[in-house]
Amino acid sequence: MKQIVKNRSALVGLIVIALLLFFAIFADFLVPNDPYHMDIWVSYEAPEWFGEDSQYILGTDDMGRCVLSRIIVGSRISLLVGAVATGSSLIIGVFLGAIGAYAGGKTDAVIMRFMDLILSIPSILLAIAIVATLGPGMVNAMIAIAIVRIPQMARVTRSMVLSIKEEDYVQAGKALGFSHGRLLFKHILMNCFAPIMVVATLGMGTAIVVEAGLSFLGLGAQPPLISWGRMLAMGREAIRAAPHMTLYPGIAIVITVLGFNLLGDGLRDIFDPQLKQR
Amino acid sequence: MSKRIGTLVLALAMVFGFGTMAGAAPDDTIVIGSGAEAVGLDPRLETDVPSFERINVIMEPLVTFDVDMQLVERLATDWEFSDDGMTLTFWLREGVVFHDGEPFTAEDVKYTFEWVLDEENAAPNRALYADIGEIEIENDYLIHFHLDNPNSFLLNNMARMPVVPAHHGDREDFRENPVGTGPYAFVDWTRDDVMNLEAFNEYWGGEPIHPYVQFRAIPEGSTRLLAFEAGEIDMYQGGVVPQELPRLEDDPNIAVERTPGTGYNYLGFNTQSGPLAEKEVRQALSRVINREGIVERVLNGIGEPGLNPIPPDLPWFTDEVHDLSYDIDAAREMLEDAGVFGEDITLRLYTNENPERIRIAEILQFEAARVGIDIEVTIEEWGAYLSRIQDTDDYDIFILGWVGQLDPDRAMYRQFHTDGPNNYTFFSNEELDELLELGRTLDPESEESMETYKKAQQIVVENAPYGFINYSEEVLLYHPNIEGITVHPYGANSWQDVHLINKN
Amino acid sequence: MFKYIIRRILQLIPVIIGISIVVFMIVHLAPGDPILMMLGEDATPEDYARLQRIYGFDRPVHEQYLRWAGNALQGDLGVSIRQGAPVSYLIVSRLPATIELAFISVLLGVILGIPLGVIAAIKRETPIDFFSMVVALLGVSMPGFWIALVLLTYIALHVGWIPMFGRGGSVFYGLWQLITTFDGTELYDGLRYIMLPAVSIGTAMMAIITRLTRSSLLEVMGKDYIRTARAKGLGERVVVFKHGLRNALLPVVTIVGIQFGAMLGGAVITETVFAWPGAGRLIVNAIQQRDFPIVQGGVLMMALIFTIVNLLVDLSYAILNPRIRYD
Repeated sequence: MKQIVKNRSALVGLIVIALLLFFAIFADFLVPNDPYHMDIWVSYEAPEWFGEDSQYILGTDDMGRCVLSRIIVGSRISLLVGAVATGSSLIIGVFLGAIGAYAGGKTDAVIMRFMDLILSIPSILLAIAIVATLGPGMVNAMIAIAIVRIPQMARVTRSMVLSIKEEDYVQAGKALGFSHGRLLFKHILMNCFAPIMVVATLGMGTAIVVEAGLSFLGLGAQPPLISWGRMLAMGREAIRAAPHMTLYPGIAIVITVLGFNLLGDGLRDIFDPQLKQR
Repeated sequence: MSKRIGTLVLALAMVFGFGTMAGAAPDDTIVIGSGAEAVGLDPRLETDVPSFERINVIMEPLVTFDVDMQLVERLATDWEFSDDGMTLTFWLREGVVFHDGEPFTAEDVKYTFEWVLDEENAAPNRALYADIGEIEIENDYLIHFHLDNPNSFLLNNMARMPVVPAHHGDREDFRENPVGTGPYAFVDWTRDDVMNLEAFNEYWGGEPIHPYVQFRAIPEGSTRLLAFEAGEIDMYQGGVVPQELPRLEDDPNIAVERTPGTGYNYLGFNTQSGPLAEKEVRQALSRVINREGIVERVLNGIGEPGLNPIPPDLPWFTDEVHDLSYDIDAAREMLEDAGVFGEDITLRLYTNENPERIRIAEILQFEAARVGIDIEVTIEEWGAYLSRIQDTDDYDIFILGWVGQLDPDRAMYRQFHTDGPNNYTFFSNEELDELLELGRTLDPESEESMETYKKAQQIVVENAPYGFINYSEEVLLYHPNIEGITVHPYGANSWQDVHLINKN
Repeated sequence: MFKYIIRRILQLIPVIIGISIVVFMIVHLAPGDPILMMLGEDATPEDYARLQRIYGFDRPVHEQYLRWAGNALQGDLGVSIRQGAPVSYLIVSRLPATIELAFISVLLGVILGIPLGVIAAIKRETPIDFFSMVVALLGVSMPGFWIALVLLTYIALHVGWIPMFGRGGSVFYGLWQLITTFDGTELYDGLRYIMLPAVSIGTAMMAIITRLTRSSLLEVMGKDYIRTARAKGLGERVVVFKHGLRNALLPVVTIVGIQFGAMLGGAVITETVFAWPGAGRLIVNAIQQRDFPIVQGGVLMMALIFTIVNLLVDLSYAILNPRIRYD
């Protein structure tokens, strides 16, 4: 923890994420308006930052709902999607990739060909298939996003492990008769941490963006649930008439992704003592 | 060497420099934008509007709908039902030739309809013509259709079937390379990109004004509008982004024409299960549809609040129906009277990914909550959605629309007759069934026909298998340098008179 | 090495069989019915039964699969039920547009992403580093359709020679033409049209490549052999580019390969917004219309290309890092 505070980017990232979590948890108390209340007679109202009675600071959406309130409440779903989908694809993907690269031979071939199989089916078809089998909705969208992203995690991990496994210290460990588990998880995986962390933190953003794509197909969050992706998808038709409908949720996504990346960068530096010695 | 460098510099200058509006539509070509690519160009096999937008320029039916939705002559110069309604006779236009120079005769008409009726062939719209029995050719330009059952509205269906030349119709690639009698002949087609047509100078209606016509498929509404504003396409109809309409109408450089369409959007209620089996609950739900709000704000004024299954422009339309207009208090009262108010009612609403429908679903969800009804919205991909509606009864409410409601039979029989092929609400009413069957046998212009369908509309509205949302409206955009184009109420027929269009 | 390639190609066989089964199952088990999608709104149950029989959908699924797979083995992917044309023709005619777009986008991502990543790594924790990160994150946090619409609205509408949609000419062929005949018109047309779609896909590519290059390079720079190289007194530039970057590119190449493959079938939203006549749109339209032969054949073909690209990626590891052996 001390190290995190010492590391500037980790600290900033942590603060951003903490703020986001704060907004997500206390959304109900923070919203200026009821995010679900619609009044279609005041739809597409432009943002009014300093008006006399600026009820809608970030304007209203296509159904006259408060954009700011919706962004605040929408943080829940979007963070959840990002975290759960990325987290589960990370765990499964790293595990499969590491095992494959370390074991080599048949195990590697089977795992990687299986990954190829998933990867080579266009993700939209895969998503439709998964959602069609399980039914549309948030949880199934998360599962779909996670499955689509597993092969990428696995391949990156595998390529790193392949490279590291030839390093002298691993070979030395092998010679010393370290167990496979200890070699793989302690010596090899710890050294692949950096690129995996980067892919994972970038993945947070990708997951949120993919959810937007699924929402575009209607397969993401179902109304009345609010996600930033759904806000972007619904606002895209009005990109010229009411750009605030997509601009602000977009900014929210960028800030979130930025936060996770800063934290990822920082964590990597902390976990990678070699860099410190430079 | 220096030459090579010179060319490179030139090329770079072209790439990064000034190509002055090289994206604009060429002067000798009318470029028409379309929201979707045609599936194919064989009128016997296609069912979608985008395909017929193109087919109706290349090929022609016997009769067609003009911009006032009146049946007018095309390849037939006259037609007549026999007194008993069992024979339909067409006098065909003489001196018409196909694009390959062969003359058009009664043989081609007979071939087209016999092909469609042949059960061995994969004609999806066969049911439209199922009442046709024997087709008898009297001479090259006189043909009789003997009917198995009287069907007053058969002509409307025949207006949707352009004539296929008998000497080309069995060709394997006809669907990609059609031949017809229309004002423009097919040249080539790169799917999902561009379809090129050229003027047919021997067209019976006179030489087309412009030498070339091009169809461009641009699926994304915003892109289509931008391409139009940049001058890359000359015009398009349908699928105008509603949010942009006010700006377009104020722009002096853009012509906007609007006309009531031939369809409507509706909520379908499953009338056989759950709380919606009660007529009163359906009526109450119909009263929470904020029609004015949806039309004004969601559709930006495109269309009109819906009332009944018949578009207001058809002579059969009546507004003397049960009042189910938007009124939350009345809806609450109706639910109280029915004894279901305050009970936990949860209804499952399904729709597809169409943004307008999603918005309507969200509005309904919000309004229904105000009368204590919880609506669970599920958005499904179109294919899955269609299967649910057509194959199962696993839904309480769905949102769908109809287009091409050209007569009361098309607008009601399929949807509300107990045995109607599109009766997705499982609605059944004996009196209505009788009225709809009677309607088919009546002269469409008779007072009796008007009365019959008026009663039918009253029954439908009162029993509320549908909650009518809005009537559609067709919107045509074109640049003011285009002359001779009028918006057509039926999208598939939009460009049938493209040979009369002039572009300055 | 040769033996490795042969083995990988042999491994392709079960993958392709697996894909063919999975895709076949998906299209047949997922809700949606090709006949329903094809029938007009007026159709009767008799029409339905008739068409089902004509297209052979009334047979048991395993029988349909075996027949399809048998034909596919002989190179016959069947005929589209909606468009009536042979599936292989439909797909092959779309591939040039798709491959070109994927290639140019990846090229854009690599050309911009790797230098940006290297600079960011060298100038670590300076404003340059931060700037590169923000640029990269902007790229990755905007959905493709949104970038596309912004490009169209704010650039194409105001710059006359940038078209809104469609494909003008082939960039590859245009390049060939420029080299052989000094005629740049085809290339100019091709570039004009491909520019915005490539940028809107390439942005996300660039973001990923930048971040990955940076982190991977930083990682590698801490390794023993780099320290050895430094200790040997080699110049910093030689150390970074010869020893560092070469090893750091390993994960980058992996991602590029995956992205290139994913783009073949996955650039659908961009293809739709720009009305780009690519294979992704063909397949997704086919999914929406439940045109099973196109979906099955298309996915199979994509899978084939994809696995080949990834085989090449795996082989390139050996070039980048000679210590990796294929055993």
